[in-house]
Amino acid sequence: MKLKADLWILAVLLVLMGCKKQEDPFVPPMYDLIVEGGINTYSKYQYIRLIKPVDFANKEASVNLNPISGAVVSVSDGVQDFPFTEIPGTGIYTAVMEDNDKYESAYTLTINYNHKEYKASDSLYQVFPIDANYIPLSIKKAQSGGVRLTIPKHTFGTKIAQQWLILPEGKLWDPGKFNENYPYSYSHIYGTPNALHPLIQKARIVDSGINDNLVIYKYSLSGDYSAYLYSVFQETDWKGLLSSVPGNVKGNISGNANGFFYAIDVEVQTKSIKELMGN
Amino acid sequence: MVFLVLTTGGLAKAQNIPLRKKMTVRFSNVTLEEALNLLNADHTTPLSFDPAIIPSGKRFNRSFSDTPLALILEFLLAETGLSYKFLFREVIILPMEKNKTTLNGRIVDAETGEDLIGASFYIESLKQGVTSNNYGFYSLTVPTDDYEILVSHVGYSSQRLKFSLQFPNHLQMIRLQKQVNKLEEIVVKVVQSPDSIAVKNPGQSLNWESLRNAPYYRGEADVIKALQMQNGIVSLTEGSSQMFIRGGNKDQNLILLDEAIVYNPAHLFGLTSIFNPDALKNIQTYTDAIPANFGGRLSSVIDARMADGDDKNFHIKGGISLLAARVSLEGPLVKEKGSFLFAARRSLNNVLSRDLELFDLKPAYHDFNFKVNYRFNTRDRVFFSSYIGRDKVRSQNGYFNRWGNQTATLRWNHIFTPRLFLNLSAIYSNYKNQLFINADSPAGMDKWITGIKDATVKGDFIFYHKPQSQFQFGFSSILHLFIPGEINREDQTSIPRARAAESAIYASHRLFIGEKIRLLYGLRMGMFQNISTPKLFYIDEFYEPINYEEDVRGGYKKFFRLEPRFSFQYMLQSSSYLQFNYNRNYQYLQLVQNDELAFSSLESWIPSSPNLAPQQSDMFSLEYKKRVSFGSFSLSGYYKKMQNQLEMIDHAQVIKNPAVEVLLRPGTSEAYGLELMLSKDIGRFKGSLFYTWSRVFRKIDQINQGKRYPAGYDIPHVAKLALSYQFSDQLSVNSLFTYNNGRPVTFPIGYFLQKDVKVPIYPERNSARMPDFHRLDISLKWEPSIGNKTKKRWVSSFNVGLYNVYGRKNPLVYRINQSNPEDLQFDQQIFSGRTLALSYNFKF
Repeated sequence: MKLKADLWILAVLLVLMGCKKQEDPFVPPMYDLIVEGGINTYSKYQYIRLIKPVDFANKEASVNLNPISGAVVSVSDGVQDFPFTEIPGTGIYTAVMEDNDKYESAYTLTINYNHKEYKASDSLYQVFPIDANYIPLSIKKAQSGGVRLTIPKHTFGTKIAQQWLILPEGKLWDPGKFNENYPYSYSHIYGTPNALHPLIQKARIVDSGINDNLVIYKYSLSGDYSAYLYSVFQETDWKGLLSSVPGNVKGNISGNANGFFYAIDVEVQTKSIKELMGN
Repeated sequence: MVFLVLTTGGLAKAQNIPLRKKMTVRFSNVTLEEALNLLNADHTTPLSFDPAIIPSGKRFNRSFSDTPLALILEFLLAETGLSYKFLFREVIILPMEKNKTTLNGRIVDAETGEDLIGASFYIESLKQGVTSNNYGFYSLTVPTDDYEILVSHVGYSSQRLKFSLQFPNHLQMIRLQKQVNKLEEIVVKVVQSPDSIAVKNPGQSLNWESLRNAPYYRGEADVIKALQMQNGIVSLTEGSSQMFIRGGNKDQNLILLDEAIVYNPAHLFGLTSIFNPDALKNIQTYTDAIPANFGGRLSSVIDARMADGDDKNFHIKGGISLLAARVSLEGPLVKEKGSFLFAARRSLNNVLSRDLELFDLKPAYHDFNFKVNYRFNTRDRVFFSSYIGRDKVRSQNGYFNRWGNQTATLRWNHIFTPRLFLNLSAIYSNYKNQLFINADSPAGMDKWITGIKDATVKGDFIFYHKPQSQFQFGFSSILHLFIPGEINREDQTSIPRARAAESAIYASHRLFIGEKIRLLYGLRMGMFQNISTPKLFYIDEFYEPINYEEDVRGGYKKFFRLEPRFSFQYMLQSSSYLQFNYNRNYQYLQLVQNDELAFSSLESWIPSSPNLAPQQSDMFSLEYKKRVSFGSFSLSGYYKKMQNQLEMIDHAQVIKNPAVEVLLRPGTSEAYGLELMLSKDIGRFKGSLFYTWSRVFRKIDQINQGKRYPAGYDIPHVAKLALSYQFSDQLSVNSLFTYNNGRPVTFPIGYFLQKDVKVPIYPERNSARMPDFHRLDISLKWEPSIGNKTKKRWVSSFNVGLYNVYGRKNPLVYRINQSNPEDLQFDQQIFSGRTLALSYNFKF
């Protein structure tokens, strides 16, 4: 009898030990909307794109089919609210902001969509002037008499985080063309993300004439924006054998939304290749 | 007829000490038992004995008057084999202890004089034995008599020796001959050594001589790859040198080379390890019953010992594979008193193919091993060994990455008495990694330097108390200098250096109780003092740094921890046992890494501090092992609970981030599993089957929304089948088939666009798995003319093999293809397709 009782107690204990408190389930992030764009000092025309993320479970989904229309979008520069209106059917919202260079100030985005409000804020900092001594490209004379430009997509360990765009003369940057696939370059404050990355670094090779000119755009990046971009590249450009454990990149949009609303200062200079080679 | 007169003269002057008590007694034709009863007839003499041990044949006739009891007893017990003791106010009659003799000495390789570690020294008639320690020393104290002793060791021919113990302490060097695999000499039989099933020493010795013939990537035999072929050791990533042992993380293994800690065991990002196969003598692994003399890591100890060098003859040996070339020289300093070994190795991959297929870079490495030892006399011996290794990789755009280990070990073996052995060591270890982080900067390149330097003093005593009882005790003290990451110039973004002292004292006792029970228990008392002086910060509940530069004592923090170790073995039969183990371990330093795969690149070690509590593990394991016909079978299970486990937050950036502790989140880990092993050895055929079922889960604050998730190295099912067949003396074939579940992976459930880049959206961490992994490797070994290995001057062998025989594409990593924004595509990268393996080894 005693043995039987002991076995019962043991069995109950084992059952109790096996019963674990049920945890709240993990909530997979499938965002309501994705924000791209922001405020720039290059033009009075400002553009913000709202799109849906692509859900692999939805085979019908593709980028072009998921613009978000019907959202109420506005940006405040701390003094005044600027309402944005959608270019119909594109998910791109635009506004004209004449006074768009309030340095050291925060610009705040407010989106109302499907009865939910989303907010984001970024600070505008003045871009460090373009210095011919440091432009992230190298130029080599080619045998054909022209030159070969090597423009690394990423440089590391710089004092200031910046974004660059180097285009041949005649091509211009348009902040409203989100699908243009501009070949931006980035200077990161942090070092290389891992030992191997520099070894598989992406670089753009461009052949050009020695008498050609280049249009160089330089963009300021706030600390939050540069950290966000660094995380984006950890999950994309630098994904490889020595990558870190995957993790969701989170921008500065509140609520169940992602992406980044930025405020950037832009400087543009046109320089001749000869001039750049002289440096 | 018994006539007795008994007076207790002088009773008035009763003695306090009964043995001095004077008695008057007369024995008349009495037996010994009767005589002893007479001494206690008045119940004033406290005398006790077991009648069963009292001989009955002899009769006594004698009178004593006022004679001390001790003298009377000596008369009575003479030539009876009995003696007496005064214990607890009582005189006890007991069997006389025989004279004891201590057999001690070293067991060595007959050809080279190398110490043999873990060799068995067994006296069958007493059913008692001992195994040689890490320096080949053995000691066994037995009653003085003549014995036949069986001395055996894996890979060596057993010897039966006859000892005539005429002298009090026998110092004996025993030389064992290596077995030569001549087929006609192979006899299929079960080795019936009565003690062969039992665990001789804790841990498991790797049979490197045999495992060298296993198939290896590009023919480069490698110790860590051989360990990864064993049960319970997961490599996680094909081609890696990392080991995940019984649910432990890669930084939870204590890897030692001649007692010096190796912080990064990898060459070429892990394609080979730092261990030169020609420079090694013994590799011992401890995965559950970790002895008390080891500490500082949670999961395992890999104890590699360099060869001492031949103390009789000079030899040159070496070899070449598709990955590396190596050469070594060994010989006597003074014949049979001292020897040396020098080994050098250099990678060839960059010479042969410029690039590895895996990495688009130009990697290269070289390393050197050096060892010298000298025996001053039979009691004193000194060793000095050193390792220097260096890896470098350089990209086309000017980025460099260099890393390497340096170790040096000075050891003194001293035999105080035949039963007390000491090893005293002074050890230096230095790991350094340099990464150029801004090759494109016009201001010049900056180096990000990480590393760790250790200076260690340790002493280990072994006291061979009795054949059934052995004590080990000692101390160790390590002074660490941590360089978690710093720029090669004055810079605010460097992580402050840290200093710490890691000290421990320990004692353990190995006890055999009867023939069935073996106990090994011990306690390690560890103290870790973080004595850093740089600025200190605390971390608040939101993991934000506060109170910068307010505490002048910097990072001072002391941890005192007790680590009990316990192992209980019960011999079920002469051919099977059951063993239970419990270990508690603490780890005071951690690797700050968040790599998805197990390739090693940038090591940044940091100590426990006011913000980081030491890691802790409690492990329980149970093993059943049985010798069966022509082989052995084992089944073991374990459960491990780990506290204060650390994980880095998503997208943590260590380089140029001085507040690195802020990036870490604490939590717990839980691991359990079952391991099955079956090995068969029939003449020309040898086979081993390993199967492991195991799980590892982690629960870390703020990671995965704080929910429990499978660890990145959670591989539930792993099966390995190793087969070998010897066609002739010259020709043999080896194969290894591996199958396991794919590693856990966080596979995207979608993505969003930013600047035309597809940014993945991830679900719960590690909620999916890579495809199942399987691969078959084959290797053919040809030894041109084996002859008599021991007499032949030139011995060589060729190995040719095929890695990944059927060309299975086991993916290492997936990523979203960014080139086409409209279609969803994934890129995958594999380690290697079908790859040729070639090697040539020689010795003369």
